Amino acid sequence: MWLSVDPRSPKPVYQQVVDGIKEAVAKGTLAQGDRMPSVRELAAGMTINHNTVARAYQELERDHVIEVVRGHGTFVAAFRPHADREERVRAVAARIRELLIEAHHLQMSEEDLLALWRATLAEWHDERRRAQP
Amino acid sequence: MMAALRMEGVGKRFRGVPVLQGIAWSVPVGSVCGLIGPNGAGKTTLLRLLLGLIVPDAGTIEVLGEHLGVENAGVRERVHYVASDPAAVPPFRVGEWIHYASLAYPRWDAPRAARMLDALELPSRRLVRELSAGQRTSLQIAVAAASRPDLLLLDEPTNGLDVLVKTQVLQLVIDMAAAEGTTLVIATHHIEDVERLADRLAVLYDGRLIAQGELDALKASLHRLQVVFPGDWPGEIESDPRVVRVERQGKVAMLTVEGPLEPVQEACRSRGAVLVEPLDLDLTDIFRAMVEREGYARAELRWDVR
Amino acid sequence: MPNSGGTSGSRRGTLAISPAARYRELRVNRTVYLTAFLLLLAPWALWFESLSSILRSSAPVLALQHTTVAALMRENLQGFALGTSNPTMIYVLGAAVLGIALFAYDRLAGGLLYSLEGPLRRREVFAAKALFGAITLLVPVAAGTAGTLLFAALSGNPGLAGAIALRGLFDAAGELSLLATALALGGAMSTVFSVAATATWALLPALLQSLLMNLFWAPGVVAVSAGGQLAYEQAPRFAYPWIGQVAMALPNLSPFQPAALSGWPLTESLALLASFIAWAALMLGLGSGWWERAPFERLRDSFFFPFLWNLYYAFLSLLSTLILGALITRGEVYGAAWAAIYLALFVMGWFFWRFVVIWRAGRADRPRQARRSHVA
Repeated sequence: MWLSVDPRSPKPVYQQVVDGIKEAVAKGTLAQGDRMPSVRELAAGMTINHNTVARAYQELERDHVIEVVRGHGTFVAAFRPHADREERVRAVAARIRELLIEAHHLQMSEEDLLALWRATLAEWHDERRRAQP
Repeated sequence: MMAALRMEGVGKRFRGVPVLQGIAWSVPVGSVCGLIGPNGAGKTTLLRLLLGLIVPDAGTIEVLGEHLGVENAGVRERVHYVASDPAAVPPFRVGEWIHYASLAYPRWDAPRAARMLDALELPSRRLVRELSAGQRTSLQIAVAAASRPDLLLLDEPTNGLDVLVKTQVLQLVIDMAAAEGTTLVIATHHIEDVERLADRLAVLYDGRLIAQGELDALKASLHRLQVVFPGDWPGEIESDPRVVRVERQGKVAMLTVEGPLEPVQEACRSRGAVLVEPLDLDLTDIFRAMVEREGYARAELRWDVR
Repeated sequence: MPNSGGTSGSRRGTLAISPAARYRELRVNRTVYLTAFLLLLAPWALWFESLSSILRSSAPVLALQHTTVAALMRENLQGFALGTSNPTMIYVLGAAVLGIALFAYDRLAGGLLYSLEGPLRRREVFAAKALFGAITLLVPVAAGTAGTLLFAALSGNPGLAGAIALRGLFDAAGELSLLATALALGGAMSTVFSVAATATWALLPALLQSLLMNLFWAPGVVAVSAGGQLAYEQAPRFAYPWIGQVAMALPNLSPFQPAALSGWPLTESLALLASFIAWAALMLGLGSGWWERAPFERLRDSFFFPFLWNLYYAFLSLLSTLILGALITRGEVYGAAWAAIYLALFVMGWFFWRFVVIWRAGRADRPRQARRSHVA
């Protein structure tokens, strides 16, 4: 299974599933219009609780990452602008602040942080490239 | 949400020895509840009470909306019990057992039974007691699935199974829960099996239910922090009510924290900690923390106590 | 989609046995039923063999003994009707052993307790054993009696038909009575103890007789009191339903018989027959009742009800009383003195054995015992 969860991590399992699927979509492993496994299939495939998977799917649906087409199944959704986009962008800004604080505590300079950003971005591009067939 | 089972004030003694005391437990319909506790804690007794096989000395039990009395064979048409006890093996052949189950359970799903038997590739003429542990457990679960219970009780289902069979069995079980909304109670002392499958938890220790609730909530309520104090150890950390447990080795300490993590992280930093790092916390640690909260101070909890 | 398998309990009548219970009983215990059936047929086969050899008797042999086939046959058949020339005791023992085996084999093969964890009703488990056990007993008796009637007709002794039929009924009723007793005991205690209990029950009449003899006899007395004599003679009779012992004389059906058979009046015999049936019904009812109520956690114990331990102490005390009593009195004490001694021995023995059993149980590792019983 390309998606895996660690039940011991402090992050709730359903959140791991949500993040895992979002990452797959972002990388291109899952493309728009791709068929998602059903809740039942995913739960059995990953041997995790189906209610957890259902909750993850609910949140993904709410975030317009996936959509349920009646009678056909669940698919990766086409991109739609979020109604609360501004708020979400503000949340991203807040997380950048958190990064800055953490970096400060680790005694990283701003240059170190930027270098780390660039390196991570490069890795990300690599993974994306490899994910495309 | 309707409760699949509800126990209030349930107690049971065997020959004057209390085995269960003051059990108040409820599990909502459709959830997967992990019943964890060491051997001898009373898990099997608790499950047998749910089946109506044993009558409690105190308290009331409601299963699938029905109050349990003395003769409860009717309840057992909708509540299925699977135990891996090697002594409790029916003297049937595989085919005979399937036939018997088809007669005994009103909701028997013959096509499903046939499909599962095919998948398991078990010869119809083989005696059940000649099957391997994994085959027998898989067969038991196939029978359970075909009988379409509303509530499925699994008593140590993964005992004696190798990893591959264990995964197969657990997948079968998840599929049942996902496809039909069967409520599941999985009693085990293998906590790691429950971590992935359960959305609820009930912790049984020494005959008492010391914790129960949604698994995510229970996991969120406890965290682990690794801290390093280069200077003197701040003793007030240990008396902090949010810190449930402290393990020290020199300058490094592992704190088990109840409640939100950030305030405690801040408190540690303000006292001069140079490293404050959240660590993974598995259910075994959570269990240990809960047990210690109850006042059982034991250096090491042995799970295989008989 | 789900199809209808068994039937839900609430829709079943009280006497109905579900297909699941029937199937389980026959599948698990088929060895017992088959073996019992064949063993119970065997004596009849031998009996038919001896009867047919009479039919085939050659003329010279008959002339030598100054008798005819019909007369010879009548002698044998009368003996049969009186219960003296067919092995009634075997049938009766067979019924008791079958009753015990139906629980013992079930437990041995494993899976009795396992089945109870499913939707099987206790009453139906018991009822299935009673039903199939009864069939196993009754078919050979019916077939054997029918065959004997045939021989009677073929040999020119139609007059004995009534007596033969009644003998068959007695055998059947007696066997049912003992089967019911053994089943009832099997539903209250473990195998070892139910064997001992059934055996004790079977020996009770003989015991009763000898006890009464000691009570009413006195050395040097020519004739005992009328009451004593009556008690001595009648006591075993009252005990017969309890053990189904039917080695008894049969009634006089004079319209068809040239020679009267000794025996009881017809009404009394039929009353005895009815008492066997009543006893069987009582035992089945009680047995099913306490089997249903036995707590699940005690089904692996020696006794399913703690109260039964008292009966166990009484049994042990009975044994020790008989042995000690014989040693003490040496057959020289009778009447009231005898009663006093034996009663005292019995009461003291009861307390003694109770103490011993409890003391030995206490010596076993208590924590381990307690934990084992509830982990299982």
